[in-house]
Amino acid sequence: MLRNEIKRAVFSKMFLFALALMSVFAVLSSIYYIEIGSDYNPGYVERGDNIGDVSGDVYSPDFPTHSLYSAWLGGDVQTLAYTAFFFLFPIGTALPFSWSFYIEQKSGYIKNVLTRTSKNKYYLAKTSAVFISGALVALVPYIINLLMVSSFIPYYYTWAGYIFYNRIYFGAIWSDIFYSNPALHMFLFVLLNTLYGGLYSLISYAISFYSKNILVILITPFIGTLAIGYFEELYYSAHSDIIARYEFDPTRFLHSRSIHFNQNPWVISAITLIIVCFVIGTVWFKGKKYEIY
Amino acid sequence: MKYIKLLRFDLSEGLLKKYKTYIIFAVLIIITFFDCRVRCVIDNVRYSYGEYLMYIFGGSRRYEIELSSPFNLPYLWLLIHILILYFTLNYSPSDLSGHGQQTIYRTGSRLAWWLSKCSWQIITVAAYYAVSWIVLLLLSLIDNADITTTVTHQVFIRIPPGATRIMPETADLSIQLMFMPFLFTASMGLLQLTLCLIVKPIFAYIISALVCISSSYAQSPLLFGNYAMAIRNDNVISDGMNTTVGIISMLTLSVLCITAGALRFRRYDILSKEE
Repeated sequence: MLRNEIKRAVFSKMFLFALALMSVFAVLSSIYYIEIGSDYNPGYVERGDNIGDVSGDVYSPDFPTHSLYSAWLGGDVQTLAYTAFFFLFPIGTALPFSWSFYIEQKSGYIKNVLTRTSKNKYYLAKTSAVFISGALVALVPYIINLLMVSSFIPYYYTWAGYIFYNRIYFGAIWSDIFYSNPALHMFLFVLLNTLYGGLYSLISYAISFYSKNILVILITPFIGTLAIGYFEELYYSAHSDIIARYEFDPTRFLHSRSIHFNQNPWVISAITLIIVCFVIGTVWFKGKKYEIY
Repeated sequence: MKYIKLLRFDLSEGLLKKYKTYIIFAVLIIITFFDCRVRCVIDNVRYSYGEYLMYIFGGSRRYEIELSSPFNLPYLWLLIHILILYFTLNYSPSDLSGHGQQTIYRTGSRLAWWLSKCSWQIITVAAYYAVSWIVLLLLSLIDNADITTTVTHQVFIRIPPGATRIMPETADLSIQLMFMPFLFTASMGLLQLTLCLIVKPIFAYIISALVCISSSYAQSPLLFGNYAMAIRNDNVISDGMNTTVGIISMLTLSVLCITAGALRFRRYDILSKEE
C-alpha cells in the first residue's frame, strides 16, 4: 500500500512539474552567484588592503561573504530566484500529491481501496506519500543548487565580525553552529526545509478533508502564509516597543538568513507543533468519521 | 441580447452570490486601515484618505541589490492583488465544467459566453476595488481624516534612498492610487482567465503570482505590476513609471487576452473539460 502510494506520488506529471518549477529558481539563483563569483578574485583580495588576521593566516574578512555558505540558495538574500522559491514554496510543495485524497473521493477510487484494506493503513500510506512528495520537491532543488554552486564557488570559514553581511544574528536558530561549523548549519537548514516541504504538502492534504475545491486545497496554505507575513509586520508595527522580534512566517524562517527578523527556535518549534497537531488531528478525527458511501 | 442575458447570469452567480469573499476583503481593508492608523500615531502625523490609499495600494520602493540589504516582500500589496486573483480564479473554469456547457449549447454562441466571462472578470475586480474605496472612505470620515487624494508622508517614508522626489506637495494621485491598481488586477485577471483555456487554473494562478512578485522585485516596463505602484510612478520619483504608458500597456494586454481567448475558445473542447 505504502509503496504503491509513493510510486503514484513520485512518478506523476504534477510531481515533475513542481520539481521543475522549484528547481528552475534554485538553478537561476546558483547561476547568479556563479556569475558574480567569476568577477571576484580571492587572490586579488588576498593582496589587497582589506586584510585582517584571523587564526594566524593571511585572511580577508570579505572571503566568507563570497563563499559557498553565502552563495547557496539558503544564503541568497538578493535574487528574484530565491524570492520566488520561498514565495511559491507552499504551492510548489502542495502540487505533487496533496490533492490525491480529494480526487480519489471524487472519482470513487477510494471505495475500491477501502473495501480491500483498513482505513488506518490507507491514511498512513496516503499521509506518508504526501509528506514524501512535498519533502522531495523541497530537497531536490537544494541538492541541485548546492552541486552547482559548490562546483564554482569555494568554501571559506565564516567570520562573526561580518554579522551584517552574513545576516545571522546572535540568538537566531543555530547561529552558533554557523560560526563554528557552517556546513552543519547548511545541512540543518536543508533538513528544516525538507521537513517543511512535507508539512506544507500535508496542510493542503488536511484541507482536502474540509474543502471540495481543488484550488482551495492547493492555494489556501499559500494565501495563509502571505497573510501571516502581513500580520507579523502589523503586529510588530503596533508593538514598536518589542525589541526581540521573531519570524512567524514559515517561508521566512526557512531561509537560513534573517531576512527581516530573527528565527527563534521556540517559535519555529511551536509553529511546527501547531501544523503537526492540525494535520494529525484532521486525518485522525475526520478520517475516522469518513464514510465511503 | 444573448451576451446581456449571460452577463446578468454571471453577475448574479459570480458576483452577488460570492458576497462572502467581499466581506473577507472588506475585513482585510478594515484591518489595514487600523494598521495604518497605528503607524500614523507612531509617526505623529495626520493622514488623509490619499495616505491610506497609498499605504494599501502604493506598493514598495524600488529594490537596489546590495549584499547587506535583502529583498523584503511587500506583503500587503501582494496580498491585495493575489487575493482578488484567487477569488476570481475558479468561477469560469467551474462554470465551464458544470452548467456552462448547457448554456453554450442552448445559446449557441461561444463568443457571447466568452465576452460575458471577460466582462464579469472586469466588473468583479472593479467591485472589490469599490468595496475597498468605500470602506476606506467611510473609515476616513469617521476618523475625521481629510478626504483628499494628495499624499505627502507616505511618499516621504517610502521613497528609495538616492531617488529624486519630484511630486509637489499638493499633487493629486487619484489615477495612480485608484485606477492603476484596478487596471493591473483586471488585466492580470483577464490574463489568468485566458490562460485557464490553455493550462489548468492552478498554473494560470502561479503565472499571475510570479508576475506580481517579479513586479515588486524589479522596476521594468514589462512587469506591469510596477504601473500599479504609485510610489514608483514618474509623478512621484524622477525615474519612475509613466502612467500613460502603463494604461496603454495594460489595455493592450487586456485586448490581446480577450482576442486570444475568443480565438482559442472557438475550437475549445468543452466536453472533455474536467477539474
